[in-house]
This record gives sequence, C-alpha cells and structure tokens, in this order.
Amino acid sequence: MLKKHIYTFEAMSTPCELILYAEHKEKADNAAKAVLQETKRLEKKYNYYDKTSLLSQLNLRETDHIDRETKELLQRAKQYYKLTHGIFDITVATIKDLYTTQTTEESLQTEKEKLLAHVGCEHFSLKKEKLHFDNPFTKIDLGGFVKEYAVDRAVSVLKRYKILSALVNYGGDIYALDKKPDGTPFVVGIKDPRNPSEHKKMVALENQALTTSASYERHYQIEGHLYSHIISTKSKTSVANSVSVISQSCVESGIYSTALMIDKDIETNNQVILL
Amino acid sequence: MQLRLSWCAATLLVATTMQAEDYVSVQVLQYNENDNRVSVTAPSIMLNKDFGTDYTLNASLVGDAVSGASPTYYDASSGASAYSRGKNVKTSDVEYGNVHFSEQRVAGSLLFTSRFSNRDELRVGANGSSEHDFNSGSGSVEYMHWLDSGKNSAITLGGSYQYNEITARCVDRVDCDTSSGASELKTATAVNLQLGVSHNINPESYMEVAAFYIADDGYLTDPYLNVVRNNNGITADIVGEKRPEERRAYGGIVKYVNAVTENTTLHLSYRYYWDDWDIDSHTVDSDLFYELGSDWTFKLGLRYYNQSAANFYSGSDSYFGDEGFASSDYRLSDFSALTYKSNVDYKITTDVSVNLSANYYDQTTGLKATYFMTGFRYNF
Repeated sequence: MLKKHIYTFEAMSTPCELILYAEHKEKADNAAKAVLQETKRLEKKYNYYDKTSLLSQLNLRETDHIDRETKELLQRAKQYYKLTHGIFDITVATIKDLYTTQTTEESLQTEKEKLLAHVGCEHFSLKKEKLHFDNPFTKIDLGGFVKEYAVDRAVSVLKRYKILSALVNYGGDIYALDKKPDGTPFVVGIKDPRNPSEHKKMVALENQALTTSASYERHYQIEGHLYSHIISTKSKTSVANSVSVISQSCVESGIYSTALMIDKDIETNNQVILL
Repeated sequence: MQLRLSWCAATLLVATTMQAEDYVSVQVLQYNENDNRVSVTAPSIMLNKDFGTDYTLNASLVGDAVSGASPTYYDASSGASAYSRGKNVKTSDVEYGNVHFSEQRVAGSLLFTSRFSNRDELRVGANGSSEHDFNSGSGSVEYMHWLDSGKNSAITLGGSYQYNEITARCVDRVDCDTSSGASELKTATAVNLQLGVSHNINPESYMEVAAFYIADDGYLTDPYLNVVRNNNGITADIVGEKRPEERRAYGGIVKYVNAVTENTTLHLSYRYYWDDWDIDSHTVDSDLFYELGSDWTFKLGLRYYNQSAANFYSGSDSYFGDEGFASSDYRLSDFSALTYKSNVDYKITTDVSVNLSANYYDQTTGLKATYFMTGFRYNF
C-alpha cells in the first residue's frame, strides 16, 4: 500500500514541498534527498545574486563557457522570447538592479533609458559552447525560469527513483505526477489574489504543471509606487490579478503565466485561469 | 517546528558588574521529553573577549538537532501527521497524539559592551537563527547607568526588536492537496522593553528589580498544530489552530542574592507575567551555590512555575465552533511545573574548568523532561 510522505525545505528563497506516495519511507526519503540535491545544484548554478554562480560569471564576463544544460536553457529562453513577442525576456536583468539602486522615479527613468538599448535576447548568441554578448551591459536572470525548471527536474528525479505518484510544489509552481493512489487527481487550490488566505478556485491536475504569477508578494517600492517583481521593458506593471497556466511542463506554465501577467493577449494553447 | 524561546527570559538583563575575563566555553545540551516527544542535541560555543577595560565582545554559536513529536489532533484515517486535516471527518477518526517532526537550527549572537569614563555601560546585541521553516533576527540596545559614585546602585534601560519569518504551509488546506498563487510566508515581530534597578544592600546581599513589556504582532499561530471544530458527535473538522495576531505582555522580576556563609550563596527570584491572552504566570526560582575549596562549585536549584490558560485554549475535541480563535496547544493551558536543578563545576587548572548539570522538569500536563549539559571553559 502506498503511503503519503511529505517533505519541506527552502530553496531559491522559496518554500518547497514534496508530497510523495511510496510503499516504504526509505524509498520516499531517498527520492526526496535526490530531489533536494538536484534543486540545490540548480540554485547554486543559476543564482543571480551569488557572485560565484555560473550565471554571475557569465554576467560579469568572467567566462563565456556554457555547458549543455545552460545552453539548452538559454536556447529555450530565446525561443520563448519570440513566442511571447519579447515579453518573456531574461535580459530584463540589465535594468533590474535599477529598481533597488535608484530611489527616485526620475533617476530610475533616466538610468533605464540608457540601458534599454541593451535589453533583448537578440543581444546574446550561442555558438557551440560559448555565450556571446554583443555589448558589455546586457545581463541575464533566469529567475523567472529556473524555479520552474527545478520542478521539472524534480519530477525527472522522482521518476528515476520509481516514485509513481507525487506532487511537487516550489512556491506555487506545481507539477502533479500521475494521480493519487485512491485514483483521484491531485487538487490544487489557487489563491484569491485579493485575499491570499483564501482559495478562489480548485483545479485537478494529472501529469500536468500549474504555475501562478501574481504581484502581491514580492515588489519594489519607489516613491510609494509598487512595481511588480515581474519587470518587463514593455510596460510598467503594478499590482495586478493572478494568472495561472496549466501545461505539460512547469517551465512552459511559468513562462506563459509570467508573460500573461504583462500582456493578457499573448497566444497560448495552454489552459489559462485568470483571477 | 519553530523553537520560540522565552523571549523575556532570554533577554531580560539587569545591571551587573561585568567580570573582565577572556574565555572560550564549549557546551553540549541534551534534552529529552518523555513519551517519545521532543529530543534536542545542541552543541554550542561561546567566546568572551575584552579589549582593554572599556570594550567586551561576546559571541556565541549554537546548533540544534531536534527530533521527536508534539501532540496535536489529527485525522487517524490519514495517519499521524500535522497535515492530516480535513473537514467532516468521522468523529471516531479524530485522535490526539504525537505528530512526528525533525528540525535543525543554527543560531548565533553577538553582544558588544562599551564602558564610558564614568563606567556606565552601553550594550548592543544582534541575534539570528535559522530553521527550514523559521528564520529570526533581532537587535538589542541596553544602557546601564550607575546611580552613585560607590557603584552600589544602577539603573538599566533596554529594548530589543525581533523579526520572525514563518513558513505556514497548509494552514487552511482542508479541501485540496496544495496551493498556488501566493507565498505562505508569514511574519511576526516582537518588541521588548525593560527597565531595571539593582542595588548592593550590603557586602553580603544584592537585589534587582525589573519591569518588562513585550509586544508580539503578526503570525503567532503554530502552523503544525490542529484543533477540532464543529464536532457534532458524528463528524468533525480538523483544521489548523488560530491565534490572535497581537499579544501584549507585562511583568516584573525581583531577584535577591545573599552570601549566607563565606562559601554558600543563595539566589532567589520571582517573576510575574501577564498578557492579554489572559495568561498569568508566576515563577519562583531558587539556587544554592556551595564552593568547596577553590576548585569545586556545586549548585542545587528548584524552580516553580504556574500559569493560567489562554482565553482561546481548550484541550477538548468538542469545544470549538466554526469561528473564533482556537488552540489546543498544551503550552497555552493551565498548568504548573517544577524544575529540579543541579550543577557541578570543577577547576582542573587555574584556566580550565569543566561542568556538568543535570535537570528534571515535571509539568502537571504529564510532560516530563530531563536535560543535561556538559562542557568546558578555557580562560585565556
């Protein structure tokens, strides 16, 4: 009989939860441990704020060498950049630091104008095992991407450990692996963006990912105006409703839920829940 | 499972003459509760270093490995887990018992003391601790002013601010497996103000009086504890407990130290605490120190503690309705406790000493605990 095992940990500044169904605790423990290792590996490798991470070394131009995993991630980022008409843009990091270093609206706008010319995925290219920037200013942040990628990687690890029924939740980025042992699908409650202590909608998931983008948790404040943690060069976003996307991978869901927060007219074949 | 130490007890300081000493102390605490509840192993290291006669730095680092179980209600049909919550579960499936957990904590503190030309002291401290579901940081400032030239009386004014982050998963999760869309990170703050006066009555006795005020705000609920609501005898709801988001506490401490004989010292103290959750508590503490020669120091102590219950506490599974604050945490119940304390210090050389303490805690709720601490201290 499959028993429920729950694991919680903190990674990527986010509370992470694994609900695993397994016959024995040992099997679930081993799988959870492997997931934790994999997640911590990604956290270290792609941490924008850690000067020793591979991502920082690339941004600081200390190296231009990229491994296969990084190359694939950057290729996907470029692909989604096109599909979302430039809204999902990992180079927004080029201006991201301004939101914390500039204290007035005026200085923010002045500095932003200067750097905007270097924002866009066309400013970097991938050739063999090298990342090439066409200017010294463009920076990459996989923050809107790597947590979701970590969820997808976690699911791969769980499958490798023969866990057949599981729910992975990294700060609201979720993948449901198969159904619960009683045959019912996993149910995810989507929080009411105006009252996050309440669930506004219930969604059943089975071998599907769901992510929600919303602006009520992390924000930057400049002269009393709240800027969403989802910074786009296309518009100045403010506190908004939440967007949930259900797809086959957490990366796909994450990218579209982020992009749809900025432009609700982005085309997607995935199921979208707007609250 | 966040370890919320008694904030007041941990920080309340009244003027004492700091003994100038440079030392390193290494200790290991082993704490065990009965009924296979909480077990804690906590090694710690403390460094105290004087810089001339005007400055002292004290730094400590402690690591906790906590494992065991804490009792709460759960849905027995889903297993003994804090997550075993549900609406309309069968009343026969409502059980109260130990829910297992394990935790590791790292905590550090720094205290810097600066003495002025009149020997008044300014103490500035910082503390931080981290667990996977609980992070805490705090800062404190304290000023001690001598009231007389003979330095027999002093007044101390201090304050501290603590910021806590609690990951409150699943608190309202009764109808789904998980949640998406908003952080479940909750925060809480604690402000502590205290005013104390100390006085050397005569060469053999010393007295301290202090008053304190504590303001807790934010998420004060324990995310791992459940209560039973709407128990109609057939079905019941097992949901997370819910506490007020504000608590104001007041109290005072009186401490008296008397050198009974040349080598025997008696420490007596009384602490009164009241908060607006209606918890009143009284603590009477006594320690007797006996020095045998210059190498051995023995301590025997007894502490009595009594508190009334919080106004939203009930240990019953058929008490709470659908609304309102609710907790079945036995730590908020009406109980008394006795702590039997013993300690021995032995100076191996002038600079090196070892210590061993053994203590037994007996609470009227049935909780019993033993804790031992051993270690050494090196003066340099």
